[in-house]
Amino acid sequence: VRVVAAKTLAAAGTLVFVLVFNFFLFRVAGNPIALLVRDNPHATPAEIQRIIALRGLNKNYLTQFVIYARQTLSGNLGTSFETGQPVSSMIAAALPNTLILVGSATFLATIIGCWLGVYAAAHRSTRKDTTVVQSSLFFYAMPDFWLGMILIFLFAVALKIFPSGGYESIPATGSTGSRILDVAQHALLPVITLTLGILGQYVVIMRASVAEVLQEDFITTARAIGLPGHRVLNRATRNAILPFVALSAINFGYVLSGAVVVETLFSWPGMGLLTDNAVNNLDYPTLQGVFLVASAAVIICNLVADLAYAFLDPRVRTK
Amino acid sequence: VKHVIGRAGIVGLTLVLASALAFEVFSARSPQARASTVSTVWRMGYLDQIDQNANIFSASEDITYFIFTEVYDIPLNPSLATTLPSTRYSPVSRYVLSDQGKTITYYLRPHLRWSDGKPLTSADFVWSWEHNQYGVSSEYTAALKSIKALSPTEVVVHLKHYDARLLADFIPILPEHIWGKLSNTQLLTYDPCCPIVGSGPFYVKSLNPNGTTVLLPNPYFYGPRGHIKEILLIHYDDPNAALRDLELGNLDAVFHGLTTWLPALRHYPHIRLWAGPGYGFDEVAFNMCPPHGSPICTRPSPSVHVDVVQNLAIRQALQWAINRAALAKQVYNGLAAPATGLISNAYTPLGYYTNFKNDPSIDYRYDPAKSLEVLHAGGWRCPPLNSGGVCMRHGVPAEFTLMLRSADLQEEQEGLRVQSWARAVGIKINIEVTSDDAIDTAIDTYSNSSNPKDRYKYEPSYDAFLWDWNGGDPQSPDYDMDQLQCGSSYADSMWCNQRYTALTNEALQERNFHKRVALLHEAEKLELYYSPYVLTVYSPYIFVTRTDTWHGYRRSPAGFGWPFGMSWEQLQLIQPGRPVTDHYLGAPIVVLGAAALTGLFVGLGRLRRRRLERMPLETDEDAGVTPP
Repeated sequence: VRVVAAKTLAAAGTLVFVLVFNFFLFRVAGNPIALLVRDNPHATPAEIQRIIALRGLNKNYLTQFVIYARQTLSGNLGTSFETGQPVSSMIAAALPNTLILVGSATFLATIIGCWLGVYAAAHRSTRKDTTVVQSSLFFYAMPDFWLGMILIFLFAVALKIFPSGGYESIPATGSTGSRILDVAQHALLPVITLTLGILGQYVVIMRASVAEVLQEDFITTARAIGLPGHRVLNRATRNAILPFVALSAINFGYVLSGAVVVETLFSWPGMGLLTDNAVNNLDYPTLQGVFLVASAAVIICNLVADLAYAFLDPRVRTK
Repeated sequence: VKHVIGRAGIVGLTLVLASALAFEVFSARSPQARASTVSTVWRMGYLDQIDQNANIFSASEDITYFIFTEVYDIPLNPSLATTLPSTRYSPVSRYVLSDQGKTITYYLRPHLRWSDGKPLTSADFVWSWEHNQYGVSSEYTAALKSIKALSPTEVVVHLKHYDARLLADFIPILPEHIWGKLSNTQLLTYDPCCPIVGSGPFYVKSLNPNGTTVLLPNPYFYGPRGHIKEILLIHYDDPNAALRDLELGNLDAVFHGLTTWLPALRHYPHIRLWAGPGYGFDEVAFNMCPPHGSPICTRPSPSVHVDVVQNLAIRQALQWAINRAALAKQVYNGLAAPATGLISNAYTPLGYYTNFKNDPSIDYRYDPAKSLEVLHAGGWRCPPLNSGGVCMRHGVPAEFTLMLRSADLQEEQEGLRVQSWARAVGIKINIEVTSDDAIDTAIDTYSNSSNPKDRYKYEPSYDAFLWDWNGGDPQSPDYDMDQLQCGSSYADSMWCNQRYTALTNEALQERNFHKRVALLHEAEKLELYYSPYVLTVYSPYIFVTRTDTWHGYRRSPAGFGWPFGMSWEQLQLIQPGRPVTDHYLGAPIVVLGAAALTGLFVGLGRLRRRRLERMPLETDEDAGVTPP
């Protein structure tokens, strides 16, 4: 209980830091007042001043921060300067799309990466090992936008077997089943892009971890008592899973921040696209909201990973 | 399950499920494609973002104004042929100007209705114009003295003075029964969606700034019916994604595309690129804040190269040194036009534009020798043309910094060419590629002056920057001219010339068109002479349409202008073609492939497990690896 409390407290402290940092980070990035003036050439100076006051931009930073902190703590993420919509509703609309895309990719990368890592470790120093590791690192090293463009060119433009982007067909109608399949069809290329992009790190971590465990005495003992190869490998995998769990947990935290490049490339209306639009428009409230949600997700997932560590490895609990 | 039906059963079941899914996907074709042999839905991609919930009081993006054009009426909608105010398809059937143009009486069509069925009357008109002052287009009704409804179809407007823009300005008639419930402050933040009620041919059914926005026909529309049953506006963050979807038939049009698309689109016979005229211009703006200050600034920041950028000979020399025709051709694929004055060639059909080619003092054609001559006359000692040297005057080199926006690659290209041409005549330009925001900040740096009068004045810290101005209206160039007036909050060069200000103000209140044009041209010449802005090109608005799904687009103004977005009448006139189906085989292939792979892995796994059970795992020693 003490461990859980300490870790939760540390996570809460980090979140408070993020809350403060979040506010000042975007103020350093730019000045939305100038943009407001230039974007409204037919507004009188008096009207511009009224809008500035309405958005609270005429107040000093300290006052703005107090308002921001009070609103955020009461669950109000403010209103977007650009769209005029509540930031929470914009995030609520984008989040499920990102979960579909980045969540699926992270899930697939975790499963496939784990399996390939174990496979490579079981065949270490062989051609199979080299092939698996090198090919996954090849995709890992390739920029997401480049990989995505290649997939779009191949499957959407040349073969025309997948849509080139978007979340669903336009106009989107039909039965629920066909709409789900339609979304899945649209998600496939970006999911493949993301999965291939992040697969490498899972493969490498899992391979290294399993290979290390395979050197342990208990593995030798297991072999000595005549356990079948796949059972020995199962035991090694279970003991090698800790670094993998940590990586997966952190990556699942990043899921909520979206994938800016891939979502933009495939016009996928998720958190990444929302962030990109907000950056382009110096939309402070949206940026603050998105970063807060993303940071909170990473912090919570880290906390879960820490707790999972303690659950999976009794030595951590003892310490 | 495995024990009940066995492995073969699992594989078989998977295949059956996969086939069922594949069939479902096959049958999940576009409803548009299934339902009709002609297009009924018009799908337009756009790259900006619909802003402020499409609230007319606070929105400013072009795409949002496209929606307003379809949803709202102004009293006198623009004529399709000329873009000038017309009664042909407008809520106002007749209007009378009297009292030296200071009184306008509008007569509304009888029995007008909003898209929600409520009657549209003169009370709506009066409320809308009275409350325009609370929105971001407040300048439009600056001349308004009073407005009154004389009857349900009659409105009289009294002005402080005649305003040449007023009849054409976009001051829409709004439904008072919706907006009238709000306080003046709430008008800016109100979410009118959805539906967004108007009197135009469409109303907004749903709005998603990051996705797809849907417009449906207004059942109570007074004008001609079009063929479009649904408009879908689809947001793209990546221009190439929009272009790709257009090529693949997932879009029918793209609003405000890029000139760089032209070469790629030449290979697509079903796609047409339209270069609509731009009502503004690209310009190199110089820091003209006088050392003693002006109504808008206190002084230039000490870091500014005042002796260079505020030297008339330098600016005029640059005017002669720039090859505008080459800029238009090389940077904009020939779709832009060389800029010759503040009034764009887009105003040619209205009679405003002139290129001053008969005026030798301000016809700034490309002439490096003339440029050098101007520098010499201005007291600069310059090396020969193309020698790579820099002109000097009183020990000061002709050198300054030009800020360019990193977000606009074409402006960057423009800036680099300007740098090269300037260097050829002995003016050294240091390029600083930066964000829009950095330029904004350099312009709008508030003064440190302790004088209370200077509280909201600037102390601009830039030498020069290159960007564009799109403030112009299709019906009148006044908004382009206004921004250089003394004290204008948009006077980003901080130039202040009383004569210029007086001329543009006089032009605005002049009822005689020819006199008005003459006044504007006189002001334009002043700007060309002093050159606070060195204009480069009139960059175009790009529209891209498919020609097979919908056709019959009509430019406005006729033969010259935009194919849509200028008047709602344009979309009412387009004709449906064959819909392009979106039918992908990818999902069935993947589903069947996944099923096959599942079967394969199950089989291989079983074989492998049997093999592993027969033989122990290979040890390091067996593999020849020495343990550490």
